[in-house]
Amino acid sequence: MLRSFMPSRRQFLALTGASALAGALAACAVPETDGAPSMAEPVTLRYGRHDPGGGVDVTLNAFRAEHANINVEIEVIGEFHAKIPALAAAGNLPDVVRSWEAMVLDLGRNKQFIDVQAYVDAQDDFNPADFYAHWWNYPVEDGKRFGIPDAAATHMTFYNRDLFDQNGVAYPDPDNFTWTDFEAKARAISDPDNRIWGSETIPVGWHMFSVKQVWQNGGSYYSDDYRSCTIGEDAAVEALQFWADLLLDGNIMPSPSQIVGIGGAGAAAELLGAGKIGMQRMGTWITGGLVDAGFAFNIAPEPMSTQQATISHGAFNAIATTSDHKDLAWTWLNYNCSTQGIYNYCSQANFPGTRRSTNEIEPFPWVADVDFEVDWRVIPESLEYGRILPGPANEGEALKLIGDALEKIYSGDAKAAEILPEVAPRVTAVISDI
Amino acid sequence: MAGRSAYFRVPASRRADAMASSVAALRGRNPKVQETITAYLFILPWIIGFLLFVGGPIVASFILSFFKWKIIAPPRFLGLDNYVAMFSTDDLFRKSLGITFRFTLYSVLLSQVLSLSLAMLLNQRILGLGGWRTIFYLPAVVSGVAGSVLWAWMYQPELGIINNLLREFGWEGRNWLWNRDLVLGALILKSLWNVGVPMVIYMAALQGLPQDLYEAADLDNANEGTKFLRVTLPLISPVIFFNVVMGIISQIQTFAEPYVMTNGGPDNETLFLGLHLYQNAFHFLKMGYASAMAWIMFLIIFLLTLFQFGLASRWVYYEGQGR
Repeated sequence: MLRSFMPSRRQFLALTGASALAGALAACAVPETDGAPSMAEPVTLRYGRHDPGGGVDVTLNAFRAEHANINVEIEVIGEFHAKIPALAAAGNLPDVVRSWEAMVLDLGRNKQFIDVQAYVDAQDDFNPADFYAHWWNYPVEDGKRFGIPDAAATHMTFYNRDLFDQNGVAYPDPDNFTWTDFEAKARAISDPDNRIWGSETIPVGWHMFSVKQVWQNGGSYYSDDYRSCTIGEDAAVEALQFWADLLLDGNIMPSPSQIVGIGGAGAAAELLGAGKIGMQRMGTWITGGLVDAGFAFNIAPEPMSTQQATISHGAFNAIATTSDHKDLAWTWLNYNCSTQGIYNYCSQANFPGTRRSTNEIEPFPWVADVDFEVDWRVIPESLEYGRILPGPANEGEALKLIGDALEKIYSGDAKAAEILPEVAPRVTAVISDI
Repeated sequence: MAGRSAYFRVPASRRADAMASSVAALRGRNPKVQETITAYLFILPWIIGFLLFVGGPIVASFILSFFKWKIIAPPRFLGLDNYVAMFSTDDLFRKSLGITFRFTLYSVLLSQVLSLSLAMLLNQRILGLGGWRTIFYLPAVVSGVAGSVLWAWMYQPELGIINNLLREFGWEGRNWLWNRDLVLGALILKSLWNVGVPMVIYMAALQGLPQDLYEAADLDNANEGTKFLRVTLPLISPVIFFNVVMGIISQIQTFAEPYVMTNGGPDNETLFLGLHLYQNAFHFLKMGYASAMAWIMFLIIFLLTLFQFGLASRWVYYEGQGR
């Protein structure tokens, strides 16, 4: 009997081939779109972000209770800067993407994200004035709004109080902390022979630090419309040369070459906790690590030259052009970027929100439980003057050109006044090629 | 009629065979046809995989090399502009080419000398031979990224083991990865960490050498140096050729070390061709330009390999070729 069921080699190959073909065709088939889903089957939305988003699960659970017809699945996308463009090229972006600053503009310009202004206008209870103005105004180009912001972490000056006390150095004045003060304090704390430094060293190539240095001196990398590079102007040149001089001084901070390979912000935070550096200027996301390190720290604003400025770093939630469920995507986006939605995420990440109403909910997300006094108020205050990282077109190539010039300045091989005016037009050519 | 008469001149038995074969072929039962079809069906998954994941991207990259494509926007035809820009306006391309060539030259040369030397040492009857062979081969199984991280720490100027060892002997440590004059040398030295692969191939070749030639050399009172130059080297020259060809192909594509250890710095002194290509593709989103660069890289490797095959007849000895 059994023999009668045994296929011949030919039959077996034919069956295998047919099965493989059927499988391949099934895999290639366009999934049935559910523009009009049945009541029984909720629509699944993909929500892409670079991190697991601690706290977003709380928002998700509440959302599910209110919107049984929508199932939101979080996709954690590693290698975000490379995979998001690849997903866009494949027409496979998640329905909602939590995107970084420059990326939201670039993808919006290239029609990968939709203009959500119509949704905002149609939403009766949506209050744009609740957002900090610079966050609200950032993702807009040619009248199109490509995203809604959620959390924001500003760069502050964290300092080791014990190291200040040991050296008899007065703490930074939170209401008037200048670069002159910073240099004097760092110099007073530094003890190069024992590898103790007043300040952390910025990782070369990390543009965040140079960008804010220029802002604090009244300059900018780019014009407001991001169409021309202004790094060759006096304010920028002076600011970057000032930083290079501090870097090369030898009595203020370790040189970049001394910390090469050790690591970035995380390593600097550990050095701060270990009493090896007196001040570290970094985003408030390091607060948790500092608390865990178990030392007495405090927070001051970033130092200023001609004006108070710092980086306000966060992200925007955008809807992909390829989404089949844009209306439902907006429903989730709006829920996630609500006062409570933003708070849920911020409270896990020690960030303030980009909504003022979020930052009125207690306990304040940026306040950690410590048994010493910390001047926490400076954090929400910084949202008023903090700026968002610039988002010109072709940013990667532009930053490479600027980075190569900065490397020469920071290594002492060139003066800012020589090289920056020369590189600025080349950067302009890159960013204006839209 | 002529055809019919020719047909009948063939013996009846062969006519019957031919007829059966034709009928079987018509029915798809010709054993040879069936075997061929079967063979193709078996390799079909590989062919599909190759076409989709290798052949397709190769063709696509060639086509894209004539376009400007930012990935997130539709491609725009540029003709030969990408290739022209590479050689006319992209200073970093020329710089990366020079760096890649210098690295390849020194790295391949030194790694061949070192791997052959190690193979000869490990071909001796010494205590713990298996252990030694394992130790020298072990780095070859460590991933390029992990090895690069390890070496970056070893080169760290303050904490790295290399500078600390130097200080033990009273020498001042150096900024290996931060000094423009030293950094390429530091990466070449790191590349020698992977000599395990050519070493194993050399060991296999050395173990297969006929002993009678050495005995004949002994009779002629040849010393060890002469035996190495006149017997060993000619006999293993095909293996040297293989290792050199493979070494050049692999080193021109070096990526992990500069990406992890230096990110192309300082001052682009370790901006290898592969890294420059990667930055253009994934940081600048200039996919068309990066594709053009990839084809130039392929062309360079292809021409270098052809050149080596051309030279091979002058120095590679193949037994049985009468040379």
